[in-house]
Amino acid sequence: MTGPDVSPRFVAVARAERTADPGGRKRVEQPIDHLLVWRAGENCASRRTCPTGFKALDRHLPGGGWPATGLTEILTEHCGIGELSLLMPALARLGEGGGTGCIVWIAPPHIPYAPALHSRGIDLDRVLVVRDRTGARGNRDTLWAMEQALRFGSCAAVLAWARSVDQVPLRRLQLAAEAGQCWAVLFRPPDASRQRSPAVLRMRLTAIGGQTRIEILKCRGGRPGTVSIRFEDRHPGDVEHGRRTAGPHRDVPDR
Amino acid sequence: MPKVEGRELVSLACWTRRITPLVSLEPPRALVLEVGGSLKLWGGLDSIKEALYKELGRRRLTAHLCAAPTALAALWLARDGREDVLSTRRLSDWLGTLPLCVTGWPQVTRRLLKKMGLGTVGDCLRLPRDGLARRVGQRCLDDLDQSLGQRQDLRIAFCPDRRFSSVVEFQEEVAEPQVIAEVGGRLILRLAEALHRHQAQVESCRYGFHHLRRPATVVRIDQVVPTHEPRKIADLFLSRLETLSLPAPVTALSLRTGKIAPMKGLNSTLFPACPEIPPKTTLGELIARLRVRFSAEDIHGLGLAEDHRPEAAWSKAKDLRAGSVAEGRVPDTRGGLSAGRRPVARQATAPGCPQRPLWLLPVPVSVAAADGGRGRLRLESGPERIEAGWWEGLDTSRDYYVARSSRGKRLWVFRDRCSSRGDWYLHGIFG
Repeated sequence: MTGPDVSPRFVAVARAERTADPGGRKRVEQPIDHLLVWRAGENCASRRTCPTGFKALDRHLPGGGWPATGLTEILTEHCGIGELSLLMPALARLGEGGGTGCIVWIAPPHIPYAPALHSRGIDLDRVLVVRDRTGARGNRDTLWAMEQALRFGSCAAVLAWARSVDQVPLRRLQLAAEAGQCWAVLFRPPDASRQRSPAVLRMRLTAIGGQTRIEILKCRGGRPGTVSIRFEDRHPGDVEHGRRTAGPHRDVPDR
Repeated sequence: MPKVEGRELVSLACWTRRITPLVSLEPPRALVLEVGGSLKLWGGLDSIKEALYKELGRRRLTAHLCAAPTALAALWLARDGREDVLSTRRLSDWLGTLPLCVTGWPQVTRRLLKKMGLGTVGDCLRLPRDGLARRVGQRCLDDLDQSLGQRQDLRIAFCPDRRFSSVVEFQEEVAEPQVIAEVGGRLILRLAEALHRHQAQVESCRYGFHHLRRPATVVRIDQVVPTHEPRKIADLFLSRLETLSLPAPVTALSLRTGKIAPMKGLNSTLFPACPEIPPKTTLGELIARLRVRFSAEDIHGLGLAEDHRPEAAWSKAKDLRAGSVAEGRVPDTRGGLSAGRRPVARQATAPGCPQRPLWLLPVPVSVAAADGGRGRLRLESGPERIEAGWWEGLDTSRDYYVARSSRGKRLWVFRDRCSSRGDWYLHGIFG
């Protein structure tokens, strides 16, 4: 019995085919599906990401942003070439809109300057700084603290600075970041690029002229590439990406 | 000796709490019990006194018990070894015959009164009130009023110290951390039972690792957020044990708690439609865990300060981390409810305000030494003049510039206008 007033009960969900030749794609896809082959770019669709605030970089990263869970390695020779500015829009976004997580800074090379962080829209109430003054046991305490913070479960991002890290601790950090659903950012010297790494994303920053060159060395679900960004005097995220609508509590002026 | 006496008094006070919860200590050697509410339960004053005398005898203590309508009257009468006074009407007669030494007033006051020819409480009661208050102080007059029941006598009820303390002794010297960890776990379970009984939380624990023929290793672990859960206490203990190097094998393990606070539960939300559930763990727990390997001053939050000098415009929000984050964090997490809590706009965020670097050096470094002396700096913007701090004797007068080094670093440098040569210093890095 079918009444005329039966409301629709099914909604079809289909993945849009983007290739120009859908028939050809299908022909290739079928045996692959059958063989249970994993294709690059497949499992990153479901991965949580956080926009970087730089359109050029977003285009290169799978999911259009930083991986919100997992280990991100940033290799820099020295600080001051935009390695923090690169993270600022994403870090500000993490604390926005009632996000629960705090941002933990472990063994930063200098003092994270509160007025600058505040002016970039970071909620200082959510920031915790852990200084590693001893350094007597190498990076062990830094990495231990990072793992604790990652596994803790209510951190949104954990930033840490370490000199040399072995393979096993890196793996532990990656697993901890996945367990704690947390974005781990590890800053390392550029010679670490020769080492293998289980990180989701690895990038090397170099300053060329007034620009910062970002080489994506490894990117799970994406392809390596190079992006150049100029960090302007004013907040780059605002200029390029456009700030999200300011809520009543945001006292950072739009520029 | 007074210490032993005090301990005996506290111990007796603990025992008397089975008669009445309202016990107050009158050191050095007296207790006042408010038994008015317990008379019916115990079947009269005589049975209460009988129980007390029995306990005193068991403890080999000699004491005199005396009952009176007011606490101070009972105390004074008992100090002089008098009989019970049960009627208010004849109270002043009985108190009047007491010598002044029962009052516990200072020696100076008593000597003064004696010189005036006053030997008993009754002599004082007969004097004009204002004159007496002027000569010996209002406190003595208040005492007299309280003893007669003409003035409220509010006493602080004795509350026994509920610190937990327990020891496990090993049958032989133990060096294996696994064994120590297991015994520690057992101690913590005992503690958890005690806490559960008292509905209490613990703030800090002191573990003693006792060695043969050498002083014990004592480790104090702060539970930044008070807790009653054995898992959380054991967690910190185990992670501390990992890094602990003991000088010798252990013969006994002891656990003593710090202050025990009444248990505080978490409030649930008023509106069930709240989208976000407060996280089970708070930042305070993470801090407690990190403190196992880092000192307390190495872990801090960040805050703003109202100052134009760059080094004084930020602060380590240390107290905030320990307390308010632990408790304040939970309501914060519920979306827009935190809207009104934001700090007001500060100078650094005002529109048109010069930018600040993300890294600040703790102490300005001479530019010549900062970049290894290599290359030259190119000034990109500036100057921004900052002159402040003269009121603290730290007069600063600096011109700040944004500069770029030959290696592409963006630096925040200043020229010190106070020095005659106008030295250049590096103060921050635009990360």
